[in-house]
Amino acid sequence: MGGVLAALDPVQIASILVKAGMYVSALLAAGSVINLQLLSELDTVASRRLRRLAAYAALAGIAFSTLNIPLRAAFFFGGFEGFLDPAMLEVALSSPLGRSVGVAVTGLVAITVVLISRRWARFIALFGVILVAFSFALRGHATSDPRLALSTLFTVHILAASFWVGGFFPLYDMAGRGNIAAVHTVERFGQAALVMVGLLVGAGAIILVILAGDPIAVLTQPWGQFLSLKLAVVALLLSLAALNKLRLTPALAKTGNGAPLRRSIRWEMAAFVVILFVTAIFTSTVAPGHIG
Amino acid sequence: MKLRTIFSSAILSAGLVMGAGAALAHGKGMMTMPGNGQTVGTDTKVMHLMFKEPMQITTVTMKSPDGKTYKISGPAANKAVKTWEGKLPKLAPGNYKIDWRGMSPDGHPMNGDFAFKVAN
Repeated sequence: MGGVLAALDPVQIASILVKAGMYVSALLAAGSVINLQLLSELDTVASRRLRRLAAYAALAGIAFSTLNIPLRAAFFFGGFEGFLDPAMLEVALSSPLGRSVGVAVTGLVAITVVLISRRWARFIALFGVILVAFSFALRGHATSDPRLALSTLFTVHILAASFWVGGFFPLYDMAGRGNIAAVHTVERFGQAALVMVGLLVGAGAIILVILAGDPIAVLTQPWGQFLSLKLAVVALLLSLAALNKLRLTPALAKTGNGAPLRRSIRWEMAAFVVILFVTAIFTSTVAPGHIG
Repeated sequence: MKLRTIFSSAILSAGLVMGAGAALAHGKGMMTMPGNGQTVGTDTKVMHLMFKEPMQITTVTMKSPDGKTYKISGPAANKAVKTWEGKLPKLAPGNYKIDWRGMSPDGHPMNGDFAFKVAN
């Protein structure tokens, strides 16, 4: 693992950081819109804050997504001198990455419309969410055969992950109130999470079987160390989610004290950022001769 | 118990899937001429990168024994080829290293390197 990281050149390091930023911001933007729709008991203030968060995250997502293109051009060129090289930019733009970024940016622009507190704006933003999730199906191994199945599975996988990431802020915000609306909001998220975790796991497992054939064999690969690190953080995240649902949510309902739940959500947020960062490293430093 | 089962499954599959995919569908499956570690004569004028599927090769550079780096010209970056042929400069005896970058048919950025020796 250390050897892989030590071998990274500056362009690859910049690409990983931008990719991690794109993951966090795009999933946060999409997830905020999903939760805005789902959590019907958010009060006016919480709803306005969530709409703002979705729009700001979308703007950050547009910046990070767009930066992918010149960075890919720089990789093709062999250094930052190729950042704006026309020939390299043309190759990057005409690649699956170029198409994916185009769809993602369109979706993120649509999400910024959520700032307008109108019903039609909400629908445009939801359409943007679908575009953002679908953009992940236009790149990498989502474009492998069987393409229709993999594209669908990746889209579902990203939607479920977005739901989770986008839930942190409204839950954190409402838990601080400690009132009945807060309890209903947290409970509603917990009910939806059971379905979403199922979708996340189900889609993920099928993708893995399609691409790898033998999931156990994956662990014998050199990059298994990254995978192990990621698994450890995912385990921590799911443990926190279970703790929230089984202990802290009932405690909030009983005592009205949201502080323990808010503390747990802060740790969940940190765990998710680590997971997305490790994913960005992992998907960029896979097999020798393959930088993705 | 049900919740625990769901979470255990999630730990395994979510972690595996979110990062594992990229490495799985690509074999190395390429050849070069000169081959890695091969010794060739000073009269060698071209080099080849050979792939199983058409690749877009964007940059090929060669580091010579005197420390200089040369850009090797060949087919255009926007053209996908199974065999990429590049013209080499005049070679002096010594050790050379080739670095290449490009894109696979499914859009993955690819890179690689190999070394060869030139002798009289």
